[in-house]
Amino acid sequence: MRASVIKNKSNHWEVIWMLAKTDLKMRYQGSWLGAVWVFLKPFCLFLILNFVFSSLFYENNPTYTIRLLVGLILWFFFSEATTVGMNSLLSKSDILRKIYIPKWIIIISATVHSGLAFCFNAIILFLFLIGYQVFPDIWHLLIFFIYVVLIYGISLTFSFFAAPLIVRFRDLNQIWEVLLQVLFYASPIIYPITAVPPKVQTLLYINPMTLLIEHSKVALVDHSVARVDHLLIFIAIFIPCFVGSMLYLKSASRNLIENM
Amino acid sequence: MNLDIAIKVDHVSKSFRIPREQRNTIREHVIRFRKRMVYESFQALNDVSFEIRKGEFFSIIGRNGSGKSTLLKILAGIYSPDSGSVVVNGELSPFLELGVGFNPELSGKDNVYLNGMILGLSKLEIDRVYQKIVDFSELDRFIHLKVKNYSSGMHVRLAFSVAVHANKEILLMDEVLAVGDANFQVKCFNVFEQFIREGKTIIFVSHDPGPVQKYSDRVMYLESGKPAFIGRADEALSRYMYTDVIDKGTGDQMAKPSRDDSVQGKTTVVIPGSTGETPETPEAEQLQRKAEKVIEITQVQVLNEHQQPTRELNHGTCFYLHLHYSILQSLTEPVFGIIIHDQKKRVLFTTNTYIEKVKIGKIDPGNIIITYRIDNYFSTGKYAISSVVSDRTQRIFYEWKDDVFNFRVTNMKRLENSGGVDLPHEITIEKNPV
Repeated sequence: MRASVIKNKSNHWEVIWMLAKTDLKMRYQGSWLGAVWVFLKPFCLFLILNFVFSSLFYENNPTYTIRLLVGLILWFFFSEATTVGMNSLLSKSDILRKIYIPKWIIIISATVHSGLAFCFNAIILFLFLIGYQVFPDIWHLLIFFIYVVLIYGISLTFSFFAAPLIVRFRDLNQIWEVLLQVLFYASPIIYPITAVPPKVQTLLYINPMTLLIEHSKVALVDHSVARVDHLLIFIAIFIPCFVGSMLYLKSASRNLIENM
Repeated sequence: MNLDIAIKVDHVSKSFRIPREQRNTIREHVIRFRKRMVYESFQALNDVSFEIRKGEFFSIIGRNGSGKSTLLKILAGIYSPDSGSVVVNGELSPFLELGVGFNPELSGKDNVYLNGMILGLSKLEIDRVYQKIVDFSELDRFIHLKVKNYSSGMHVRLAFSVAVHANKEILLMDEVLAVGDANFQVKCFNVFEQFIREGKTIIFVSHDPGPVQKYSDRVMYLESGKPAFIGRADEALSRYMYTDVIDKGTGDQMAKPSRDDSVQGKTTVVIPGSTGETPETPEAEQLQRKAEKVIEITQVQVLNEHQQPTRELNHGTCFYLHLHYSILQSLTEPVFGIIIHDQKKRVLFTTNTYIEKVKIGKIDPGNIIITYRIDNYFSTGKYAISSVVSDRTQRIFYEWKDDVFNFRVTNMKRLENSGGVDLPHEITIEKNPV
């Protein structure tokens, strides 16, 4: 038993970029503020949360605001990438039904926008870091970059699983929306992880975003490296999950199109 | 694999599970958790094997639901076969549909790039052929306009231009030729012929006998997911059109419960009085005429209205066809039929003893003459007769002979008639009707 062999030379990355570019044009055409929304959405939330929480609970913590911003921006990256990644195959079904394109291309091209949005937001974040005079050195920036790559990695892992699944279970969309809400509060974004009892902390670390957000805050604001052993365990779990998701996507792709 | 082979399809089967009820949400899955999903299985392709040589023009014909599109989608890699394998040797450009990924909100130019890349071109390659694409589409003035403002003809022209410039060794075409206005169609056919000259391998799926007849090296006639015939174009086309007519002719019987339990409206001809014991025909018998001859056409005569043998017939009279057969083995309820084509191989008329409900019964070895009396409505021109003898299911062909006789029709009163037949008719005009 073997599927078709297509020996077309790969222009995969060009296709990814082309689809992503089209996606970008579509997203902001006819919108007045255009790409500014990329900043506006997280920053409105940031202003509200900052107002509520810093004035109410953390008045004596000068770095609360900047920590909140780090967490929020990373969170937006994660929630955007997973949501569009999950819906990517379904939304491109018109193309997929007509022509053979590897499914991962569609998923990755859908997440390009989230990546770009994150980059823009990261620039704002760096301005804040400078403004608060806590801009880290190159090493801590690099470590932060590793965390960002890992966030993108888990977003892709999730998307590789969810994108074929949502074709059969359309309400995955709604479920993920609710779950994202839960995970948002289960991540140390609006509160420092130290604010919860140690037992609950362990529980929170089940959420992969907890570790990545917490460690990013430590790297960017405190300029130190938090618990390398935790990070290594995280990577050790992440890699098989990622490989598993790729294998799953491959096997699920076989009979995917006819069920669309 | 042999390097001369472009595509090798080896025992490919594909079936679709069609659920009786749609369950798309988890709630539905949970509620009916205990109930098994009930599926109907539809065998779209059943053990299909064939090879396409490099440089060959290979056409696939068959009725709706015969598995043409499924096969093409498997060749294109969109579907995976349930069993069997497909090996494609070379770069393949599928145009199952034109303008895949076209985005109406983008300009024509952007869509050329988008569509070109989806078809497997790199940006550099598109840069190189971009001007050719635009010239070919004749859309130079509109190329920066958003595609949503294009007329459907412009849309198709642009899409076709990109597709033909994708320029791969193997082309999969699903009835994409019928696009654009007459001028553009001529251009399309020119490109087509150029592809053939360049020795590209073309797999062409169509309902239109014209191009199939004109270009094909070989034709595969698919019937209910199985290749019923692979070989010469005229024979495949005759079979296709012949069975088509038979099925339409027996439309009234289709309502009866058919033995065929697949979902799609089936092509099986249900014979009245048949108790369903029709033996399953071995595949070999379907694929080729029986090696052992059971019947042979011996003589054909055309007689004019005065029963005189002739090859020249007058329009508006009637004529007689005598087909003499020699029966070598006894046959039960065979079906005798004829097909009349014009010179362009267009089928103008078919009939057979089954459609006409002629009682035949059992025939013992010996000779038999079948006479057809036909009113001559044919236009001026030359015509050819094919003779077909099949079993009563019209699935096993005892003998199929093309061009057993040619005749000419003259003396038509009206000279201007481009149709194949000139039917008795009247035209009335009512000016300023109340």
